[in-house]
Amino acid sequence: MSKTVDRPPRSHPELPEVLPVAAAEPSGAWETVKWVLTPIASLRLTVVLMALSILIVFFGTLAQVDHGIFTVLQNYFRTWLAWIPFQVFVQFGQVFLSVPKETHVSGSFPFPGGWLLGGLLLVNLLAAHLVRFKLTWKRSGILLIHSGLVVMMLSELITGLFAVEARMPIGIGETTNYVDVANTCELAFVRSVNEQTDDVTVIPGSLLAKGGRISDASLPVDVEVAAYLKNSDLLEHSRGEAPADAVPRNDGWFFTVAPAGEGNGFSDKDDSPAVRVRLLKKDTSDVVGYFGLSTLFEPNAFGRHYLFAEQHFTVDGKTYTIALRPQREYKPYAVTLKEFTHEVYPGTTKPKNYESTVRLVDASRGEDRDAVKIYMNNPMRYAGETFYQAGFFPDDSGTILQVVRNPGNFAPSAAPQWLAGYMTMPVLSCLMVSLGMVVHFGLHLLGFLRRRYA
Amino acid sequence: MTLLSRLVPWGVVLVGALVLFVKMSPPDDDPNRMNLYEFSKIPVMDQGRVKPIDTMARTTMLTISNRQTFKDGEQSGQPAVKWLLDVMSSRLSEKSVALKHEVFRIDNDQLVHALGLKDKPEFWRYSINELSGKFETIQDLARQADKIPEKQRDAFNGKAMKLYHDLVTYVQLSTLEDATVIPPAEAGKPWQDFRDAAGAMQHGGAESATPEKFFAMLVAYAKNSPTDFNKAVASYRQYANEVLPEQSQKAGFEVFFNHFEPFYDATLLYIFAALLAAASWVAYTDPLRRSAFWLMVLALAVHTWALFGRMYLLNRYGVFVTNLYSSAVFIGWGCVIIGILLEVVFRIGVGAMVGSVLGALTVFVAHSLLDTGDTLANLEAVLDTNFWLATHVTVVNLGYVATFVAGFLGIAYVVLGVATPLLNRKTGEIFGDGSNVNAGLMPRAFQNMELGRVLTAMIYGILCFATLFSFTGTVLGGIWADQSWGRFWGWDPKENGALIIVLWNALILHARWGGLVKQRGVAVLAIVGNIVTAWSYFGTNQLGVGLHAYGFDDRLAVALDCFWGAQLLLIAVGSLPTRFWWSMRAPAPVRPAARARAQPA
Amino acid sequence: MSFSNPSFDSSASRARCRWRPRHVASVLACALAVGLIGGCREDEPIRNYQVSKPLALVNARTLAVMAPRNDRTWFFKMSGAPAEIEKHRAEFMQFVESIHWTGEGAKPLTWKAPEAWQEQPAPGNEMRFAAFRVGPSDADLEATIVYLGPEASRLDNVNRWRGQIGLRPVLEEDLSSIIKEIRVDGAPAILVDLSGPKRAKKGPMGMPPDHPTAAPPAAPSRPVTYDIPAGWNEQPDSKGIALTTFQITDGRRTAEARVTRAGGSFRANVDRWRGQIGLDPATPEQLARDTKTVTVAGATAQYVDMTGSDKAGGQRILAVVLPRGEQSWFFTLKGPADLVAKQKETFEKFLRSVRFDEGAGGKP
Repeated sequence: MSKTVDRPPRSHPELPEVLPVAAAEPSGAWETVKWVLTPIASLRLTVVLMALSILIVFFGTLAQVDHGIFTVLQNYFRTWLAWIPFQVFVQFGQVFLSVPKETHVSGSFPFPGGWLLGGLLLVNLLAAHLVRFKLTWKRSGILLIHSGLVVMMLSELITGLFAVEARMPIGIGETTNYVDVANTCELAFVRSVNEQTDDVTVIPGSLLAKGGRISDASLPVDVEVAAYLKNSDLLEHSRGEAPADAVPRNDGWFFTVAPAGEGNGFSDKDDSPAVRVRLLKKDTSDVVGYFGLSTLFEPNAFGRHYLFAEQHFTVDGKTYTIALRPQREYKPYAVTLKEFTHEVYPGTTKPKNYESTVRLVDASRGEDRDAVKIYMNNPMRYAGETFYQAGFFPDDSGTILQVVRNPGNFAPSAAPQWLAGYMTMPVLSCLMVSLGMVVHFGLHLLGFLRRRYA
Repeated sequence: MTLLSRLVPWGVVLVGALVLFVKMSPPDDDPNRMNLYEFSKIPVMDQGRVKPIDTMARTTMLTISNRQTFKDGEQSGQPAVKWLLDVMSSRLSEKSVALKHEVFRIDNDQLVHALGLKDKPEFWRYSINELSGKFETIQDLARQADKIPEKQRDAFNGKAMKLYHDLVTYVQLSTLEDATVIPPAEAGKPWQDFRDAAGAMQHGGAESATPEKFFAMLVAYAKNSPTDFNKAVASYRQYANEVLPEQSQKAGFEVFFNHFEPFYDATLLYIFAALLAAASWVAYTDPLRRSAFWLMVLALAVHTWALFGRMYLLNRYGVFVTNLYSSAVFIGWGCVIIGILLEVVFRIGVGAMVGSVLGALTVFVAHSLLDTGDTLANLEAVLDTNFWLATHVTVVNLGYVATFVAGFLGIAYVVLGVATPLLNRKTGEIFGDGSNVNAGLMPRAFQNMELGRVLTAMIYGILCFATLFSFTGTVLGGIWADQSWGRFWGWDPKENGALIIVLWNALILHARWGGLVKQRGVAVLAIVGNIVTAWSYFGTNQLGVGLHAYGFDDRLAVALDCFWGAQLLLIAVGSLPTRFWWSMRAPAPVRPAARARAQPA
Repeated sequence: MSFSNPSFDSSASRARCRWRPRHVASVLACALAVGLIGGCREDEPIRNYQVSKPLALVNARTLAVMAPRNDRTWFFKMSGAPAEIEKHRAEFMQFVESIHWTGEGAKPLTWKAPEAWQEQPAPGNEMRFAAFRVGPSDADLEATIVYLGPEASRLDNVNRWRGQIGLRPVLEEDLSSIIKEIRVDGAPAILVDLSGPKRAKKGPMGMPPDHPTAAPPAAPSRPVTYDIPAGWNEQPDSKGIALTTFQITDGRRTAEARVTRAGGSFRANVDRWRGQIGLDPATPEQLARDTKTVTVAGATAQYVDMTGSDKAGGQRILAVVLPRGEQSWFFTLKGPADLVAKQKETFEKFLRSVRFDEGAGGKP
């Protein structure tokens, strides 16, 4: 029996599992650093962190039964410390173990959040490589895998911090030069200055969410936020029963806002925030008006299918329109929808294809792209932004494009369209890690075969 | 090796092949009986796809009855297409038998009682006659249920709505309303509703006499005249071949596919292979093991043919998976291939065992998913890209494959360790004198290794593949999402499930490299992998949220509970102290592990 | 063979204890670094900017006059492509000026239509008083006279018209800026001139489309009752449209009786039935000949009898249309001509048994 046969495939062939350096006293700066880093580089820590990561991902999945994806992102993944409600276990039981639907358990326990676990895994990984860095062929696979993972983590960090998703609803024949940023809202005060120009003042949703009285020099009034709703629904009233702040629709019904559960963040189920505000004359307690506003009152909320009256008030002889709308970002370019087609499979309502034909004009860059076709899996890319076919108006009279800006996509503007979509950090990471695994496991397999058949 | 032991595998494979041959041959075409098999091949447009009327009948009946056959009077096991013919011709004859067929499945006692139906435990199927006079009640119940928000509906509400829809389907078929069975006179034009086409024809503005030809078949059937029926069918088929040559050919192939039931046949063969492999550990080791192996190869051939047959029907080559059903079938296929490869290398029956058990299990799971409808249905616009279906979906399913195989190898380790003394014995001793084991690719060195060590090596190797495939597949999915709507990672339940699989596989590998676990630990952790994979594969769909929530089914929850329970039990058994392990107690003749520890490498 | 628990063994935890301060400090340092990147997003400020008004798309224009008179509110309306409306605006105003109320009776008002206008056949809908084709037939421009009860609200109607061409509704206080007070035949009236982005959908006869917000009334469980004649077998509903379907079998032939509730004009429905039995759309003479007025459940209903050509299978349809609220009730009998003839009496007896459950009519 040879030794090679008996050697158990127990320890990682390259990374020593025990921490022999720990016992030695540091001598010199590098040694000190190593001395500090060694416990952080422990494989045991890796395993524990991975186990905790699995749990937080699992909890974050269960939480989506009750909460919208953006809340879950905030409370589980993009946070340092997550408070896990015991209710998630009940939910698991309700789906899989026929626990009664009305069961509710209060209370929660703390758990490391996504930022913390991700950060620690990154530190653990970097420390391991610093402590045990060796550039050999045998380790090239591992090095490639782990650098790929670092790229992936950075990409998620960049996306989490800087990527912006927005929507651009355009009716056929219309030209639009702004986007609605997804899952945001702003309270806008619009005053007509002249035939061509509007004067706009906006309060961002984050400020509204804080509540209280908002005063600002650029605002025509002081705004007192009575309630802020993350997601809202509309309540129907007939003319006779409608409260004072009800908003009419074309068919003669009136609507007020009511709280609603959160959606899951996909294009058709965006949250629709709402706010109840009291407008006061600046620095006084004189009430100018009381409004219950929801983004659902905006024409784009139902793809122009339902239309609600604009709300306005007059103060100091000037008339302002007030609206709660998705945060509006004006662009240097304008997009015109020339045509929209929506095909279904015969005899069904199952979509076969949606396609928008658009024209993009950017005077600031002297760009004019005509008859660009945008359809599923075939977006348009322009100036660091990508335009995807995301939806359409109920009567097919317009399209909804998803406009995404992600600094993690590093394609230069000169790159051809088909390639640009692949010049992203995730693709790079995927290539590195997959190649790394092929190399690493391949070397293992080669070694195995060489040893076994030698 | 004796001649007999050499002949046994051949005999087994031959019997298997014979069974397949018998299943393959079409039913005899007695001119004095209605040739339903020929009628089945008639192409129709249903749910947005041209398919043989056989598939339409089967999927409709599956939805209504949860079966593909029915009991016609005293004759059970009658084909769905016969039921369809009975229904379609029901208004042409005075005494239609369609009203008597017990096909409407009402498996909710509350609903059965609310409708005042008699209890039919275990059968649960009712005829139109039995339901007659209760339509209004059913409609009322369905309307009430429809007003309840989807999440708050209970089983009673759901079943009432389903029964109502089933009845609507029945009436549409019996009145030939919304039955788009009339092909366009020229390519590119839309298919026509039978009633519209017939109306147009009578009105004089018809493009062809197709409705008449179609109607002739129904009339002949209603008259119970086999000669006329067979003639009408032959004439219609000839006409369809001229108008839609390619689609008629495909329809014919699909009927053969439906009739042959390749996945079902493969399952049977896998079960026998698994039994043979299990028996090989008891006695008559090598001949039985080789029989199991070759039977598995035969079953794999059928399985493979069926997968490529589906690609032909879908016209998507390289796309194995388009829905939950096909993914289960594909996972089974992958597991069998890995099992066969393991068997080729290790020749100890474990690969054959694990491969065939998983093959049978997954195809069984696929079969129980059938009632969700047409398994070859069209894809939503966003999924309609062969490139990503062939890459992301295939690779991510290979990840499931490898994780499941590793998990079942873990189960083999635990079962063999606790219930047999084999784990601590050398493979060479267990599997004959070594001459058989030694043949082929089996490394000589393995003969001198204990079975437990060999198993761990297998698990470790498969886990490496599992990590590679699950990671690459998951990230490819992210890249697809990034291409489709600009969001690489959406923390959707299905995506999270895939991430958990990747993390779990990586965790096992790191725990192993870190020396935190050894043989037994790896085996037990691999079994946990089964739980994790089942969660990702089915569990996340059950939550009913997110983009990938395409396969919700409350029966699945029960099946999942059973599966998870079994895995937990195995994990508990696997974590028993070694004194309860038969293999650990049995005095092993040699203790190489101990020796290895004694001599530092 | 040993199974080590995936937790720290004793030496490791000792090492951990020894290293904890440094360990934690290092981790915190790294965490802080990430935190700094993550934490430096400031609250967004209140912003003020000036922006060009969005270009208003004009694809449709509506001219409408609303005049209350003699316990009714009268509407004179013309809607279509902006260019076409502009071309015929003067004609429309002349037409409105020519209106003269004569009092009660079959024709309570007279008018003088411009020469180019073609009066359309009397529509089945009683509230639609008259309709004209304006200009060449391919332009598809129509002017209508419609009346409602005396209580019709200005705001509701203006908002409904606005919705039809894709304009948001207005509030009561803004109404005055949109309408123009005029006089028609000496009586006060309002004139509305609206332009909007949405092309009007073409319903039958250019009827204003059913507004999407008019949700189907919640179906009460039993809004209608009747006696089921002998020989009629109740069938399950086929499309969720019919409330009830009966099958009547006689030898080899079957006929079908249905009770349905739906929208759409009387004419459109008659034409649909005629199509089913292979007849061309009805001319005014045919419609007048085939239709008579009957009483069902105490209300007036239209009763049509149509027989298709033999070429189309010799089918016959008896249909009764009973307008009730926003929608109409349909009672139909359809089948081979001779069978329908045989069942005609039974069908009429069935109609006499129809009763409505008052108060179960859904939303007004």
